[in-house]
Amino acid sequence: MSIRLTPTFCLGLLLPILALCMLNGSIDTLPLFMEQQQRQLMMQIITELRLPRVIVAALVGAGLGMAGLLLQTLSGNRLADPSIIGVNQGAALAVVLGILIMPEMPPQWLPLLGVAGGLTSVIALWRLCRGTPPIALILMGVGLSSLLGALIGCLLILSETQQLAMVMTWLSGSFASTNHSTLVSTLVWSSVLLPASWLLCQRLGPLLLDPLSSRMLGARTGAIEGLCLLMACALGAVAVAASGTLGFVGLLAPHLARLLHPPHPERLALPVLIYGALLTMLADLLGRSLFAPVQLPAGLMLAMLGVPVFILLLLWQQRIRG
Amino acid sequence: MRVVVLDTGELDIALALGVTPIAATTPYQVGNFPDYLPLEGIELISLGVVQEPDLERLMTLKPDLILGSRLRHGRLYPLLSSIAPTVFTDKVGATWADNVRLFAKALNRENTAEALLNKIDHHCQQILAEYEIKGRPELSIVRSLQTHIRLYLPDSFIGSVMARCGLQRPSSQSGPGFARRLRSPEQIDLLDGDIVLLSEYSPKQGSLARRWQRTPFWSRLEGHLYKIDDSYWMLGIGPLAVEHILDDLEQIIHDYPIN
Amino acid sequence: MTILSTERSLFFLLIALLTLPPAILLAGEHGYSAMSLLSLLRGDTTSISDMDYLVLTELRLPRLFAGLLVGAALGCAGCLLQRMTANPLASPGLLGLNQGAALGLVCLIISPLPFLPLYAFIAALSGAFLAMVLVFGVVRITTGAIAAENLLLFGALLSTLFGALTTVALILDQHALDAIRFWLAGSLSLIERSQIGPLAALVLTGLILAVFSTRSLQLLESGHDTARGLGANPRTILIMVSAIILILTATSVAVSGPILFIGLIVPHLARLWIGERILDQLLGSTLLGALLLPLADFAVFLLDSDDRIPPGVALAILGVPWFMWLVKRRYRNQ
Repeated sequence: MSIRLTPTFCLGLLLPILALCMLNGSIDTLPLFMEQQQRQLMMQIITELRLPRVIVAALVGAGLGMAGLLLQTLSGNRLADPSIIGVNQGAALAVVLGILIMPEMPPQWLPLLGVAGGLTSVIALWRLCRGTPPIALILMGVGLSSLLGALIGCLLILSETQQLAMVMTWLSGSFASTNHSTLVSTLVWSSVLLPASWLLCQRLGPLLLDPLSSRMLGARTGAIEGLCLLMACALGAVAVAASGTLGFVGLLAPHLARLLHPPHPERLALPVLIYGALLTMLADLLGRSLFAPVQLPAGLMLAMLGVPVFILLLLWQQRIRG
Repeated sequence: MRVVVLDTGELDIALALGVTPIAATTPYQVGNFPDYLPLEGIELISLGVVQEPDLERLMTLKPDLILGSRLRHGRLYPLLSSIAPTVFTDKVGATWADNVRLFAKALNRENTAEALLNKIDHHCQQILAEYEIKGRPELSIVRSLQTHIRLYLPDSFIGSVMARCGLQRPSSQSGPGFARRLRSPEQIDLLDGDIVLLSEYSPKQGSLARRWQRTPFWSRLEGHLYKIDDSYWMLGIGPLAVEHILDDLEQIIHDYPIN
Repeated sequence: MTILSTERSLFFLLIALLTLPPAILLAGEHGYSAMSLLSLLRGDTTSISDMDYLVLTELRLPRLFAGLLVGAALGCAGCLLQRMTANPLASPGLLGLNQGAALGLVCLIISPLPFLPLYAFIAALSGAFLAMVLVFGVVRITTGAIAAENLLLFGALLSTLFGALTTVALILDQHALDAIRFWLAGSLSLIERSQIGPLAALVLTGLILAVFSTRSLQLLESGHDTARGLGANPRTILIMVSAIILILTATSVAVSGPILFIGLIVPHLARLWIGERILDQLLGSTLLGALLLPLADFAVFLLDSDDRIPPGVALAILGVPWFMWLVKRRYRNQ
């Protein structure tokens, strides 16, 4: 099956979901709209609370989808996702350590620490894996993330700091604290990184060939591999800074794109961006409205829905292939 | 004044100052406030769980004041303060008396706050008088959770209440710190004091102290054992909880035999 | 490498295993003196204080035995899993079986049912079963083969799902926070004397079944067609071995929570030191697992006498570099 990705299709998909996310939430906005004096309140809820959240979710989701596509192409394995190779755990460990060492630290610094931690763990992994094929990098990432997870568990048990309980919610990927300044910084970073990653995807062809033929064609696969990893890290870091650690988007978006569109990496970039954005917006919408007033972090919704959906996707793919 | 509180400690303080908030978050099971709070006949709107308050619902309530703590909701401050004036304490727990004064200032109830704290201090002095007569028995404070036992140290809420009254703690519980965790009954001697106050956190899910009670180690405890109510001794962290604790303490020290 | 005959290596392991318990009891600042232990063995209880006697019989010995049994079970399960999948990277922990069993326990904790040992075992077994069916089933159906990389990645995904479900349970109901955290970390510190009997019975049954299954596994390794030619049904063998792995894993998780990496490290050590033959590797893994877990448990106990660090952390610090080295070696020449 393949759907042509016309501008009408993209807009026809994005706009209704964007509207859905703006108009729905823990409270029903439509009745407010009917009453004259409540209209201003409704506008306030939409512009102050929902707009930044929804846009940041879309940007973060698009970036993570792209990071997933890059990692999957790089490793030649369709199960790779930035969240399972230790980016998330590295970010989490840095934040937990930061809070333990400097309890007085202002909360605005946490994203910075998270980014530093995520980057450190990926760079360490990259150096460890020199001279091995990319699938080894993914497997070592799985090992690294379980080691970091064990250390986080240990720190949580050893410390009696109440603050950490709150941090754990943030670390499960939440857009609750998104405000206008988060929106601005995410917009700035994404406007650089998303087009750049799209361009990078146009150069992924040589990675799909076997090493010998790509060398004969004169492609510098090493440089492209490095760039891919760097780009995936940068996109992951922007996501961590904006929303904590979100998993599964990087896995689901490329799979959806491959199912619905012709599977050339050059042409997958755009659908991956769109599906990543859609999935994250929807997960955030479900998290804030499903059990309202209880708010569940988007990252948890993604994990809970992501695994079953992913299994269904795999099965569907299998049926199409025969 | 329409006040919204973001945690149970703030709820306790607001109620103690005579202000009934319109909305609050619930910390434990969804929709479950600690039993000791006088909430009969009060319609409190739930804002969901403490970790992530429902900001949309908060905004529709058009509050005049939001009370919370930097510890719990520091990351939400920019959003909250764009909704309504927001007053955050730095910490919760041992700083409860300072928090009362801070919120009283925000609620314009400073006189109520001073009267409340004076009443508490007066009650403390009465207890201390009786305590001196009983020969200053050491009070051990033990909380049993499902898989560990916690001894509360002076930097915790309950530790600060003990210190305010001038009550003496066993040497295992008077060093600096918040709490100490125990897993193994071989450390049971650390629990001992002339008076042992035992609190159980949600024993329905299991309580380690009950397992220890079935072992021969438990008989090594020599102090007088009293069960105390977890909801205000441990979960509630405000002046209303302190008043309940002092009532309990008065009774316990009154019952304690003179040495 | 020194070349010892298989029998001699196994013999040395057995000796080490026999000397380990007294060594652990004697060592450390809380250790007992050799004289008092000897007189205890002769039935003389006056040589040590009441408290020391209680600690020895109620805490130290049950914990030591639980460590031996759980370590043996996990080592054996890891070896079976690696031979069954013909993959040196497989282990119950990395495939999500341990975490599945732990999720079963978490469900039991937040359910209205009491946390009894029998229920705990059933919950752990169903969780591990679910994880195994999911991992193997999905990988098999979607990729047409059971490739190790896919098993591992899918296991990691599943662990993330289990983690998310647990966090949601915690947000909605914090009452069980402490118990859930404990059961997810894996620890030997809540073992009671009464648990040792059933644990020993289950683990020994599993181990004996495992030993008997080695012949069938060997048939399987010679190829499915050969196995069929020799009158064996490969599917039955796979199901039988999986059942043994599940029983061993679930039994150990039900008493100690998920203890990762033992099932990964131990079979490799056994293959290096004891031998390639299935029975040798299996016996070696069992004995080594029984040695390693009490040692790790004792090491963290020495570091922190308040007994808060789970032995799984020590094993992860040991096991992850090992795992990475394995990955690197396996893929270096490709």
